[in-house]
Amino acid sequence: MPDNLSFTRDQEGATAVLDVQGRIDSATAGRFEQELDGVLAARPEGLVIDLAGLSYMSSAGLRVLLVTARRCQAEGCAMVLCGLGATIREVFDISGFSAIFDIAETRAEATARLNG
Amino acid sequence: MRSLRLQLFTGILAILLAAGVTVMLSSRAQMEQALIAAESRSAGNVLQMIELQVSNRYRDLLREKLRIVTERRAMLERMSSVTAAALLAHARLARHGIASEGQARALAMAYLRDLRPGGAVEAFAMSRQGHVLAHAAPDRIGRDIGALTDIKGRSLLAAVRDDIARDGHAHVVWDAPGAGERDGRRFAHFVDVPQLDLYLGVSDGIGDVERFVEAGVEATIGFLGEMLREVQVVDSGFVFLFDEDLAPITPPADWAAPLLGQRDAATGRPVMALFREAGARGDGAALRYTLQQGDTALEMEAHVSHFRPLGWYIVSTVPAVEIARPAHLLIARQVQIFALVLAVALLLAWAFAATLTGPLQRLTGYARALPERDFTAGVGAAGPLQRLARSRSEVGGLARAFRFMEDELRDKIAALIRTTREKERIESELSIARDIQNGLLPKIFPPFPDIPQIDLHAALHPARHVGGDLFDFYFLDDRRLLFTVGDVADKGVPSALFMAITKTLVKSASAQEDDPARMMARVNDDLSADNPRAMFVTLFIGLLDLHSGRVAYVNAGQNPPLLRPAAGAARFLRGLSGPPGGAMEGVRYRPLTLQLAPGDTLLVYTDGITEAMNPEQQEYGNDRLLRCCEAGRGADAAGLVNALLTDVRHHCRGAPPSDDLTLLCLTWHGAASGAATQAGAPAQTVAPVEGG
Repeated sequence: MPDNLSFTRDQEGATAVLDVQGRIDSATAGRFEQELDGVLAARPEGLVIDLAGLSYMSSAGLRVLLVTARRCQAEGCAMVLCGLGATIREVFDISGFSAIFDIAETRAEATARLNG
Repeated sequence: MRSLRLQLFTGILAILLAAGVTVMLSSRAQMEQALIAAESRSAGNVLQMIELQVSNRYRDLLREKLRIVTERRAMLERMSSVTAAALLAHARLARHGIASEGQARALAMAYLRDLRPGGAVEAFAMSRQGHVLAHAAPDRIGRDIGALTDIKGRSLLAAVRDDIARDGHAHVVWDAPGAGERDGRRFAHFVDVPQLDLYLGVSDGIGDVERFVEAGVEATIGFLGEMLREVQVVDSGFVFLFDEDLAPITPPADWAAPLLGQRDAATGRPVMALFREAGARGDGAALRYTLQQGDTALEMEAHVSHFRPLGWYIVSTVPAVEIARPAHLLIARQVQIFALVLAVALLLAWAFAATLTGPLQRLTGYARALPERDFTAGVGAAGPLQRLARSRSEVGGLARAFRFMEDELRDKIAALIRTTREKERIESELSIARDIQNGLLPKIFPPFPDIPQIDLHAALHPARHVGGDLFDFYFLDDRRLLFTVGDVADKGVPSALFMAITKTLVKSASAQEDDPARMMARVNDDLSADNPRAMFVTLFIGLLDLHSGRVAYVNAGQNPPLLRPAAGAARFLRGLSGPPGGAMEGVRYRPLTLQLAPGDTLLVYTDGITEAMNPEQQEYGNDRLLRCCEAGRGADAAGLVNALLTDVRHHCRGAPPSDDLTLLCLTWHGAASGAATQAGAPAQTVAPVEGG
């Protein structure tokens, strides 16, 4: 099955940026987790996860974000999410995760927040 | 039958036939020509042989004749020399005066008269005018022999005079008058005797020489007749001779003798005349003519040779069909041999095709039998292929490939059986896990038939065998009902385990705390304490006071519950208490409350309901949930739950559920016993109170 999840890595100074496109559900969450592991292996000072290209995220994806957030916290890396569309935003709001994660509107805002 | 064997066989047959027919067609014309030429040449050879025989014999005859004639001539010359000497002796008598000239002449004549050399030899004197002066036969004296004509057509006297004038002597041949050359031909030698003024002639009859030659020719004809009877050209061909007058010298074959008088159909001329013309041309070309034998026209070929010294024509002739017959025979033989060779070759080809296709048939049989083979047996069942596989041919390669395939199949099937067993084991364990999980959930509906104040129903349909959703409800005491719905992130065994833990933690927390918010905080802390995989659970915990209809609840990340008031439109309760359990340690949850009016229904559900997808990837959605709830008025809790599940299933149209589906429906019928609805204020959300 061609799973419709893809990533684009970017680097802005010491901040790693991961652009996520597609759907994150139980089937693709594993790959999302691997990708984030790979990004964090480079020990960035900051991590921006751009979810603008995301059409759906299940609780499995939220769990991966949660794991990543914990790891970032342990490693002293600041993690900011950005580009949440209305649907994704609703998921975050309903589940109460909006309060847990550092969420910026745009990518520029996210990087500015990290570098500022 | 389009078997490979037949195809091979047909192919070989076609090749052999093509080769054979090509060779025969290409060689046939040449061979026929060569054979006909050979036959024709041999007919010509017979002719040449006969001609050679004739000319040899004739030459021998002439040589013998010449020898005899030369001998006779020498004899005549000797004799005329002696006689001339005797005549000179007589003439000398007169010169020496022993006798008068007249006496001497008379003596000489007398000498000649008395001379008798014997046989046909005669000596005589001839006057200058050609008269016989002296001869042994008295009647000849005085005859004018000078007037006779020799065989060259001159007068005898002229011939003698001219030859003596030129050569000193003369040879003359003539035929005696009144007799043929056989009896009367005479050969004479003349010398001049000027002393007596006369010619001396000595002659001899040579008819016997001619007779000798004739006898020789007769003998030759006899010999040829004998020989030609034996000579046969091809089958019924023959050789015969005829003379200038078309009279046969040796007879033609008996069958042809009566036919040779015919005229040739093509030219309309007599056959014999055609022979003579062909012989006279002497170019050796074959003559074609036709004999009419009864009703059949017989095409004939002839070679004619002309033997001029004797004026003979030698004819070698044969029916044209017979010339071609050896060629036809040879071709027929060739066809027979080819047919024989073809038959043998085809037998071999059939056998060859069998040896070639036999292994293929064995392989086919092997492949057909493959599905019935027991691949779990450890022994290589490719046994029948062992012998084939040893072959270095392509078939051997195929057999090896088959054997390899079978070995691979055996390995793969063994692996498949192992994994299937493993999978079955896991499946059965998962099935047990589901049973255990199901065992964790309340199963008896309606759960509280003795308590008329509430109507409660719940259902959980896991997406996989085991799911991460949960619901529970129980009375903390005789007036407080605790009900909870949760959804663990992700699905499968880890989620199921987490769900079981959550359920236990809720139970223990509800025993220690009175307020759902505090229960939630306790559950959250316990879940977060050691949670390396950041598992979390969205959780709704509600506590209903049966007497007042007041609900204290906490919503930790759970989808907003739906309230369907007895009076008023259904709506979602958007209040949120905090993040899901397990996500973050030390969270204080905001307590929420809700006042139910009798007949109000509260529906708590997981996101599996609203996010259920149809094949077009469209979610079931909040709106349809609202509509379905409104439509379900009148039904009891169980009816609404089932109606909702059915509606969700309709929406999905067979698409496999991607998440667990969990619903809990609770209707409060008021504090009074009995199902009678109690008029009251519409349910309203009470202003949130910060949990302590």
